[in-house]
Parts: sequence; C-alpha cells; structure tokens
Amino acid sequence: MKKLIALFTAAVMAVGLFAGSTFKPAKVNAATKKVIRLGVWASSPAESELLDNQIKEFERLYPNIKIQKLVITGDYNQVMQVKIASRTEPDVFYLDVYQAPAYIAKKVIAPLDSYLDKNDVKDFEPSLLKGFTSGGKIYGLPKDYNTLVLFYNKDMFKEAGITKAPTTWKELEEAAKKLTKNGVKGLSLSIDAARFIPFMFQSGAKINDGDKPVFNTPQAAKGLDFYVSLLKKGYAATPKELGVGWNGDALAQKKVAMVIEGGWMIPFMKDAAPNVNYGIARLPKGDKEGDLVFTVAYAMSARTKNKVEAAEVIKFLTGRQALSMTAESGLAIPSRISMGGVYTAKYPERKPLVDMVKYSQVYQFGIKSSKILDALNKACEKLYYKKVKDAKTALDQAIKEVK
Amino acid sequence: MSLEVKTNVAPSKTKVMTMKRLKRREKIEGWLFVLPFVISAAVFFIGPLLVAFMLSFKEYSYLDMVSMFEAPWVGLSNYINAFQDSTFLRALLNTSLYSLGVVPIQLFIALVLALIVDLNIKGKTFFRVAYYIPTVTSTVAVSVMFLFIFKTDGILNKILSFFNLPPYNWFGDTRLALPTIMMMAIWSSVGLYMVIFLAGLQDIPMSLYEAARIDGASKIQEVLYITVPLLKPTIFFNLVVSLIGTFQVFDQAFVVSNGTGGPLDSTMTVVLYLYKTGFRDFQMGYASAIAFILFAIIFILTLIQRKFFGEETEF
Amino acid sequence: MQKGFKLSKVLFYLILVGYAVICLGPFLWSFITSFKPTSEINNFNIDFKTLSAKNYIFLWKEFPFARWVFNSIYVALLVTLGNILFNSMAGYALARINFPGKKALFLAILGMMMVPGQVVMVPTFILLSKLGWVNTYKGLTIPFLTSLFGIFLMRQFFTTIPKAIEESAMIDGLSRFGIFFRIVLPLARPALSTQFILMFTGNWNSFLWPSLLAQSEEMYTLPVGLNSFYGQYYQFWDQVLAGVMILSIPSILIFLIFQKNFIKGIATTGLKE
Repeated sequence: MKKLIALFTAAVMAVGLFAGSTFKPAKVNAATKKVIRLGVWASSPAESELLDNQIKEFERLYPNIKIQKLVITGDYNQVMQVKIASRTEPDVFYLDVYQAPAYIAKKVIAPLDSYLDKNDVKDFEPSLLKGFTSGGKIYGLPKDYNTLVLFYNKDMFKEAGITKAPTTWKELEEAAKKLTKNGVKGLSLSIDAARFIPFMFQSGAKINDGDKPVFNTPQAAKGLDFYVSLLKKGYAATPKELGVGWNGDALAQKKVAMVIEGGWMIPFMKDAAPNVNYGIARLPKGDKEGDLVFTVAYAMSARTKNKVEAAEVIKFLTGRQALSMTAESGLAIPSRISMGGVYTAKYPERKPLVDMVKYSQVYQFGIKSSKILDALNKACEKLYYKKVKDAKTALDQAIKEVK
Repeated sequence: MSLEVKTNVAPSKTKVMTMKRLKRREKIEGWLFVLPFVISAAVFFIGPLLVAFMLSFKEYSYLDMVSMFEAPWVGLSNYINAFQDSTFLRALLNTSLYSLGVVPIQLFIALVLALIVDLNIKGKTFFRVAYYIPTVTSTVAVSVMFLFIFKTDGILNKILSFFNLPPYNWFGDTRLALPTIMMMAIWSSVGLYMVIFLAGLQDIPMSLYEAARIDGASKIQEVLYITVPLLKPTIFFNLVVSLIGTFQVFDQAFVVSNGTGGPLDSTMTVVLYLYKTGFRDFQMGYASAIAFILFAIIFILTLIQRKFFGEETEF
Repeated sequence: MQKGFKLSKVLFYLILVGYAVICLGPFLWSFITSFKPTSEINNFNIDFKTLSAKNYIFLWKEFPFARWVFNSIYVALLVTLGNILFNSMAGYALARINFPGKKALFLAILGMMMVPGQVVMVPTFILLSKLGWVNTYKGLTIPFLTSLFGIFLMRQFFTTIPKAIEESAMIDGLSRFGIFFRIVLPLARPALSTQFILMFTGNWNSFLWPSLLAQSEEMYTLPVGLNSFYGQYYQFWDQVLAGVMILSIPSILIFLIFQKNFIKGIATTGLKE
C-alpha cells in the first residue's frame, strides 16, 4: 500500500504541475469588451443548445458585450442565495415567478422600466408580466411559459367509447369513471397545490389578495373537494400509489388515461413513451375557466456594474428574434403574444397550451408564497387522509397556519 | 485493558529519567501533530461557525441587502419561537424516532456482517463488495427501486399477501412513511459501518482467540468476551457517527417527500425543516437557531454515551 | 462432518447470498437500465437486443467528459492524501500524546461534527469567495484537506495499538515523528485503508461544495458535470444512471483494492517480539 500511496502522490503532483500551467481563465480585454454573467439552471442538452444559439446571435449583433453563461447545478434557489449573500450573483439570471415577490421585496433585482420601450412591453402576455410587476415597475421580462392542460391517452379513450376530451368537471368525472378499469385509473393526481389550485380558480376562488391569504372561502373548498373526490371515489390515484415518480410517468407507463401537466410533457413523452398515442386538451372548466401558468423571467441584479449592457442582454433574450428561435424549437412557449402565433402555426396540436394562458394566473401568491403552498398541501393531505370532516374545515385550519 | 497489562515492562531508573524529559517534549509535539488540522479548522470552520451562531440571534435572510453583521438583533426570540413551533417539535419527534430505530439496527447488522466477512469463508471478497455496494449506490437509484418495491401493487405487498396480510400504502400512509425511510437508510448505510468494524476487528490479536479456544470457549463467547470489549473504541466511533448522521438526516426525507416532509409532516426531519425555513422561507436566523438546538441535543447525547463507554479513563 | 453441521452451513450461506441479493439488486438494476433505450426504462424486463452503450457514448461525445474525470481524480486524490496524512497525525496525537488542551480539542472535534452543514455553508462560501478561491483548484482542495470524521476515526484506531511498542522505540531514541511514521503508521494499515476508502469515496461523490465552487465548465468535477444537463422538470433515468455508474465504479475499485488489507495479522505482527 505504501507503494500505491507513493505512486498516487507522484501522479497527483505531476498532474498538479500540468494543471497549474495550462488551465488559467482566459482574460478578456476589459477595456473594450464588457462581460455580462448570465446565471441559468441546468437544462436538457436541447434547451442548452437553444440558449447557446441565442447567445451566439447576441454576441454577433453586440460585439462589445460578451455573455458568460454560468450553469447553476443542484438546488437553484439555494445556490442563488449563497451567491447573493456573498455578493457574487450573476449580472442577469433566471428568476422563477414563484420567487419574484421575495426578490423584489428584498431589492435584490433592479427595475427595468428605464431601459424598456413601453410599446414593445405590450407584446408580452399580460398575465405573465404581472408576476414580475410590483408598484407599477417591471422587475423581469418573461422568456417563456407553461400552462397546465389535460394530456390524455387517445387509444384508451377510443376503447372506452369516449369521442372527445372532457370539457367540464362533470365530463371529466364521467370520463375518469369509464376509463378506470383493468388496473388502469382514469387520472393521476398528485397531492400538490401546483395541480389542484386550478380547480379552486375554476370554482371562483382566490388564493391571495396581495400578501394576504384568502383561500378559506366556500368556492375554494368546492374546488378542493372536487379534486380530492376523484381520488376518494377511486377514479384517480396519486403517483405514489401508482408506484411512479410523477404524473408524467403514469401516462407514459399507461397506468392512467389522463394527467394534468404542462408543456414539458411533450419532449418527455417523445423519448420515454413514443408508443403512447396521446392528445392535448384544454383543462375542463368548473363554474368558470381557470388555470395556473408557470413562467421564468430574466432579471437584473441590483448590484451589477453594467446595468445598460445587462439590460441589452435581457431585451435581446426576450426579444422577437430570440423568441422566434424558441418558438421554432418547440421546446417552450414564447412569452410574446406575437410569437404565440408562430408557435401554434408550427405546432397546431399544442394550441390548448397557448389558449389557456388568457384564463391563467401565475404561480405566485405574494410574499408568503411558500407558507401558503405548504398550508394548502397540508389541507389537501388532511382531506385525503380523512383527518378533517370537509374541505372548508381543512382550509380554515390552513389559513390559521399561514397567519 | 488487558492488553496493556500483558505487554507492559517495568521501567528502570534511567528510563524513568528519559521518560520525564520526553513528557515535556510531548506537550509541544502534541500540538505539532494537530497543527495542520487546527489551522484548517480555525480558518475554514470556526469563523463561519461563529457567524452562524451570531445569526441565530438575528432576523436575517440571505437575500437581504444589508450584511449579516448589520442585520437586526432579536435576542433569544428565535430559540423561544422554535419551542413553540409545532412543526419543529414534530420534526424533533420524527428525528428522534428515526434515530432510535436506525442506530441500533444498522450497527447490529453491520457488526454481524463484519464478523462474517472477517471469517475465512468462501467468496469472502464477493460478499464484502456486495455488502459495501449500497453505500455507493446513488440515492436516485435507491429511491426509484424503493418506490417500485413499496408501491401499492409492489413486490413487498405481494409478499405480505402471501401471509394473508393486507396491502399497505407505504410512502403514502402517515404512519408508514417514516419507517419506510428508516428501512431505506439502514439498507444504504450498513456497508459503511461494516467497513469500519471490519478494520477495527483487525486490531484484535489472534493470540487472544487462540487462548480462548484452548480454554474451550464457544464462538458466541469469543464474540461476547473478546471481540466486543476490544472493539469498544470502534463501537463508540460508530455509535457517535451513526447518532450524528441520523439526527442530521436530510437526503432520504427530501427525496421521498419531494422536499415537503409530507404526508402531513410525517417525514419532516429537523434538518429538512431547517432547510425549508432558511432557504425557502428566507428565515436564516431562525434556521440557525434550530441548528444550534439540534447541536445541543446531539452533544448531550454524545456526552452521555461517552460516560457510558468510559472513553476518557480507559486509555 | 455431521449432517446437522452441513445443514446449518447451507442455511448460513443462504442468508449471506440472500442479503447480497438485496444489496446488489438496485445496483444491478441501475447498471442494466443505463444500457436501455429511454422508452424501456420503466420496463423491468430486460430485452437484450435493445441494450446499447449509447448513453455512455453520448456523455463522452457531447461534454468535456475527460476534463471532468481529470478534475475529479485530481481533487479526490489530493484531498484523500491530505486527509490520510493530517487526520492520522491529529488522530495519533489525540490518542497517544499527552498535551495540554487535548481533551478540549477532542470534544471540540466531536462538537463540530454535530453542526448541520446547511448553516455554515454560506459563511464558508463568503470566506472562500473573499479569498478568491472560487472556481480554482485551491478552493476545491485546500479547505477539505482535513476531516473531523477522519480524525475521530484514526484516534479510535490508535487507542487500540499497544503503548509498549512506542515506549520501547522512544527509549531507543526515536523521535515522536519517527515513531509515528516508522512504527505506528505501518501498524495501522487496516485503519489507513478504511480512511482511504471512505475519504476517496466521500470526496469523489461530493456534490454540494464542488457545485458551489466550480463555476465554469472546465472546473466541473464529475458529479457537477453530470448534473449540468438534467432537464428542469424531469430526468431520464437511463442517462442519469449511466452517469451514476461512471461515478460509482471507481469507488468500488478502490474498495476492492484496499479491502485486501483487512486481513488478520497485519496489525498484530508488531507485537511479536
């Protein structure tokens, strides 16, 4: 073993010398070229390639600005806090709409209004932009979005004699009932606020009023009740009961006929379940239409030294040219109204995803977002495990927890 | 220890003189031996630790624009709040139950396995590698496997139905989720403790076993009266490390509950709750207070163990 | 041999093999899945015709994979060797040398192990970024050259080595350092092997710190690199598990090599006078 250790030492030292001599960060000519550091989370190779192409195009058009992409692996929210606390955060970074209220309240990110063309801003889907607006100021420009829609197995529908996707709660329940047979469940529903909140919207409820939680209304209870009733009646099951990681797996493995998920299902199904013949439909409506929309923006660090250049980067990456590249790729739905048309023209079967945006609210519930979601999840669990007599009681208890 | 008595030679007068001189030198040499560690800990650990301790008396989040030194003091209120926070108390209870279940079982299995693969049995290397492999298998793979095994129509429930037992919803049931995580933890960490026991076993002189065998001791007696007493330092090590590890459990609870600690807080552990309050709810001061409460609990438990093992007097 | 004895032996091996199957199951499943096409990952049957090394080829071709492997080996070996030396020295002093403050130092080491890493993470990172060590090999190695766990481990092992050996060597005129390097360390082969296995595996698999410290692609270690192309919403297990396999195989090889030192007699040979 001594020999082994000696060998290792020698090897490490040799390698160390070699390493020391070759790998130095390339120095950029600071006088002429401004470097903007762009913080993004890890994404699939196809998504990375899209961003790389957008960056390449930007650098061609703005030769005096260089974008340095920093991929943040692991827990993005945690790592960003590490960087912000050590004052080493990137100049421009991805910001999930869910985190936006905290970042705005703590003044981590800078308002962008003075760099923006007011008319151009009108091209962004208004519900998305609202998620990054506070006190009349815009703190981030959304790059893309995803709504929740119904993904259904066409073959199973045909076999059960259902000719069209359900459009109302009643039809949804009937379809789920018919489709539940031979070990297959009608729906896969996870106990997750990010999936059942649309049902609360559909029964006319609000989750929050600014920073104040207001989700203990009879309307909210109605939505939650319907969602859980599908599970209790056995027409739906949770992914855990089905032994899968998430709803998408349940559809891919043909364990259910329907799931409620977003556009990320499309590339997933293509690779994981090319043999499943599925369709996309709008979310069935309750008393009214309602849905959640998930979106991500580019935001600017309040501490960046190169505000003008950072703003150029944000404007380009959410501009028509960059977003038309997004639309063409089909990897995400571009956040601009004008580009939504480009996307649906190329991918007509995905139109429901775009259609739902006008009925949607962003996945964000004020500064107490994470507390509200925890409480809602717990309320749903209580109802599901029959720890409370009805949805209203569960929600009443939940609202106390938030306060 | 019996070993010492056996090999100790009565020192002569001149030897006593040199020993005295050497004892003086030892004081310096002792510090020279620990110097690399002391420097490293002083630079990289003590400072951050003091900062974290300071934060436990402040209201602060890492998103704040003011530095942590300028953040407002709140006195003991973080600590007081913690003991009135039902979720934290639930997390503490869960973590204690988890530790109480996992520590004895995993150390017992590890010791038995170490004793077995220390024997000259056929395929010894194979068994050693096989039992060690769970420690290098990724948490992702493990949780996927366990989801498959524990699902409602999974292998485990099929085996149970063989004995006419009803199927259980292992990860979904509020009473079963924690025991399920405990099983995962035991499975994946037994190999680590086995390796340490195995190394400790090598320090026990063969001559003692030979002597015992001549006296007609059985295998069980050998283990109870030679192996276990002489393995005490290793057992103490494994006990302390396992206790610390179980009280700081995070990964398994995070993976199984998607970070929520659900269903209904049944898998909420102290460190998971600390992570949630600190990084998700942006209350780092409160999270730091939780960390130091946890620290105090583990420290007291370790001191009790240490007394129990008579660590200090023995060597 | 008696019949009863044979039966118990069969039972004994049956239990051994049974537990081995439980241990190896998930690993073998991971191994096989890493060769499956994505559409087959949820299928627990194996169709040998569809297996291919495409995930490995993909990793090799699309990413600076050799560079990540190099970084990982470099960092893991440097850190492991530092730990072997420094932890053994400190562990030895705590077990054997009488110096003022020893008891307090030992308690401090135990205490520091009990502080949850999540609360010291950010202050430590601030320190390292002030030192300018972010995105450097210095940052990836120097803070990790000693380990509380390793020191505690070595201390416990050194307490079992008979004092008489060192005392006689001391009287023969060897200095403490001489005793340590020439007499004690060779006696501690099982303990050193354990430390090598655990430190190497720990560092090789470590993700959190390298992910914070390595910012550019050419500084990634293997676990960070493998995490850098997971999609935001889901991961394909075949790709993930191919990465996992590449990560776990060196750890297993290291174990295979060093477990050879777990043989009765090495530690005790020194006793035979």
